[in-house]
Amino acid sequence: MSEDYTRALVETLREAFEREGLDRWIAYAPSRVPLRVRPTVFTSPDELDNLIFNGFCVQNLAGYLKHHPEGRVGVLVKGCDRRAINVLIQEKQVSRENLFLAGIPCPGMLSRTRLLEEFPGLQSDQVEESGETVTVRTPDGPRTLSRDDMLLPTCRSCHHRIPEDVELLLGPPPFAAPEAEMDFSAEVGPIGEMPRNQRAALFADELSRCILCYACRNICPLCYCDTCFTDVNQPAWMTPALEPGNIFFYHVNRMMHMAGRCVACGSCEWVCPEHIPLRLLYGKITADVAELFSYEAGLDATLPQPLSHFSEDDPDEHIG
Amino acid sequence: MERTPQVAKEAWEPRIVAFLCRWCSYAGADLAGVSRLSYPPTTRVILVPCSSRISPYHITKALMAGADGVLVSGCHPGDCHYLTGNLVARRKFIVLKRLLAYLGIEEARVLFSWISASEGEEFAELIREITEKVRAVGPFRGFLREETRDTHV
Amino acid sequence: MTRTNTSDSRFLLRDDLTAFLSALSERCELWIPQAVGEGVRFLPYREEALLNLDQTPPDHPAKSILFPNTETLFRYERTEDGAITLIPQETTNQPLALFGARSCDIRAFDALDAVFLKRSAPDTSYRQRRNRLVIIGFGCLDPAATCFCERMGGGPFDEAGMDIQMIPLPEGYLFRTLTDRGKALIAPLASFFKEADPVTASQAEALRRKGAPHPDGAAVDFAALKAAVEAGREEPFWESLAAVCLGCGICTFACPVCSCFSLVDEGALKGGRRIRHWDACMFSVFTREASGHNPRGAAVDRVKQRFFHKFFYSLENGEPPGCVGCGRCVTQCPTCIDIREVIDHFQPGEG
Ligand code: SF4
Ligand code: SF4
Ligand code: SF4
Ligand code: SF4
Ligand code: FES
Repeated sequence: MSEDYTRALVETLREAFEREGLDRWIAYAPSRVPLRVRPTVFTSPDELDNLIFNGFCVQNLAGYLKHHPEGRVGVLVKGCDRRAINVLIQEKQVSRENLFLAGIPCPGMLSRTRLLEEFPGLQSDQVEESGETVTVRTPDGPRTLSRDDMLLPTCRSCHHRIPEDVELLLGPPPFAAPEAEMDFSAEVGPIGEMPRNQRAALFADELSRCILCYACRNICPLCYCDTCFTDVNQPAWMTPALEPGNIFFYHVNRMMHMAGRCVACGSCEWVCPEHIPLRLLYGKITADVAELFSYEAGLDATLPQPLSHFSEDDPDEHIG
Repeated sequence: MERTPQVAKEAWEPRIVAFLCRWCSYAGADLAGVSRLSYPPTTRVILVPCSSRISPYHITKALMAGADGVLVSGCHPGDCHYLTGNLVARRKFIVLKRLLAYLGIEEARVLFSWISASEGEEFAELIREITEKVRAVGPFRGFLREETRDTHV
Repeated sequence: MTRTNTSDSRFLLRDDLTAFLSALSERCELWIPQAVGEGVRFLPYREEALLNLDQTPPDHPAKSILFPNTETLFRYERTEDGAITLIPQETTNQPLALFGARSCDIRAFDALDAVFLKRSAPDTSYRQRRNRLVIIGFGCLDPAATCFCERMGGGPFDEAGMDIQMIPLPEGYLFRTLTDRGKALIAPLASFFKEADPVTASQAEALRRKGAPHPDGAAVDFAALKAAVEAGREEPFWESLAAVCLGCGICTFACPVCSCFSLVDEGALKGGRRIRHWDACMFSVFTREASGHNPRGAAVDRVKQRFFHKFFYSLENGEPPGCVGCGRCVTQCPTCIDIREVIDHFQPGEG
């Protein structure tokens, strides 16, 4: 079933590639790595035979526009890829005319970590996605799980699965989780209500594992500075020494850079080799920006961004 | 960045880094000085062109480098020398303030205010007030320094 | 290092492992693989640590015992009159025991030694730890699908570099003592062990001989690989990798062999220190010069550098190849840049 879907997808995209005379197409291809697909820049319509779409297409493809700005580019976009592209357009990193977007109603992406926890050593070809379930072939027979339970935490709370303003809206895949009930920031409220030192201990515990590899920054589709504040060294804001001060400095300042920009794609969280639940941080920023400035990132490329903007009657509860 | 060792509790006086905009708050501080108003010597003043010059970097770096509290002060809304610098800053600061509180930093450590060039008395009062607030929460032990933090090398 | 003539084998019951580690920790600085958060890493022993011998291989390499992510090389203090006192790193002679590391991580120490000990000037801080190191290695019953150590000249039960090899068996562990240093480490703990009975011994021997099935291609011929990589320096293949590489450096942080580092001086009026921290050839700032010029300015240059170092420069310098086949970069790369594909690309017909 999902093979038929992929075949039809390939043909539709190939047709668009040729018709539009695109220079390249950014999408996904299979890999030998368990439960992971490879983001791929296809440079000719023939190469698309290798294209794949399934629940492991977690990488946010908008990130590849920061490396390939020239020419006319086709991109296969899920909801969060599309929203990230809006932010890049707002920030004049890409121009809309150079993009040909094929939107895919996103079925919600699967959590590799959860699957591997449940089935150590699991390989991609043991996983079959259909409808609202995921079936895993194990040596003891197949096991069927609810797709919703196996989603990435950020996908479980995504309300923008269907990409808007695309050149081509593709049909929904034959596998999908039901529409999310909770919000990206759902876990933030309860943490905010914990006693202060418990919160401090929670974050000290989680963030102290950070190895400052900056993978969360590099994978973020919206981090594109040539020289990140972490790397400024004349003089330096921080050093790469693994110490609480540096770790905290990095995270607080990166979060501030994402305020009003983060599209909750979850990439920073799943990429973290230390499994730090970064959604608890970016969810906080997102919740505050929504509450204070009634703004949600990536929905409208024509709006100014909340943190480079102001209004006369902004909240001033924090001014002493 | 390493922190200087802490002094004994009794001898401890809060160290507050105050970023003051040159057009209003710095002039207000100056007025407090020439009017010989008394306020505790707890602040280290850093002159900045406008409150909007201050970014979360400066605030977090001050804390990381050993401040117990940080104050950012600029002109009242409408009075900013650059017209709207303080209004943009106001948005940034509320997000930062809430974020730091969420991460477990005591709210009293990061303070914002508007002080005009004529508000010498208000400036002295502000410093008295924030000194007491910071004193109440005690010395800042550094980011993420809770007992749980010996899990990595 | 002196190898004992015949390895002497003793048996430790599974239930006695905790008490054994606790006793061992009193005699040396002991590092064990432990679950922290959702990952497994090597850290100094603590009573309450969650030992994890199941993850093959552990997410994090054992290299941090010899080459910590961040280390202070020295401190200095400056007095009022401007005099500067250097405070060197503290040293000790206490043995440093690495428990439960896999053969891939241990073979990687050869490559680290080549960098830190065998080039023009040995690194004192590394040498100090290396000289204290005693290794209790752990055989891999269940290699991951991404393990390819055998292709790289090792194997799940390869004992090279170990002082003691532990073989997991149903009831407990067979400890094969391979060197005098290993013998000395556990001699005082003899009461924990039983003599290995012949059945146990033969089970272990069978495991050791069998190794583990590796469907993943033939052994790598490093000389041929080196030549092929060099000949293919300008191939478009590299561009296809660079097109998707994020430059995130996870591959290098996860690699037991990668050893790029940077030095940073943190100075203030009253004193300061010099630290060394892991860095990565995959970061663009790694080679950015003060002038702003970057000799490896394009992503493709950095991707090439990583593989060239592993399969060309190391060999050119008479050092061990830069990959031991642990597969960590394969599983952890967020964009599936797969070193096995690089090998297969340059050594066709073997994959
Ligand atoms: S901060 Fe994280 S969740 Fe937000 S856009 Fe960047 S990668 Fe995605
Ligand atoms: S990816 Fe994880 S470990 Fe790396 S810098 Fe980000 S939070 Fe830290
Ligand atoms: S290059 Fe990859 S597979 Fe080879 S030793 Fe390093 S992490 Fe392991
Ligand atoms: S882990 Fe993958 S994406 Fe990241 S730097 Fe290495 S090869 Fe590139
Ligand atoms: S000049 Fe005072 S706040 Fe802008």
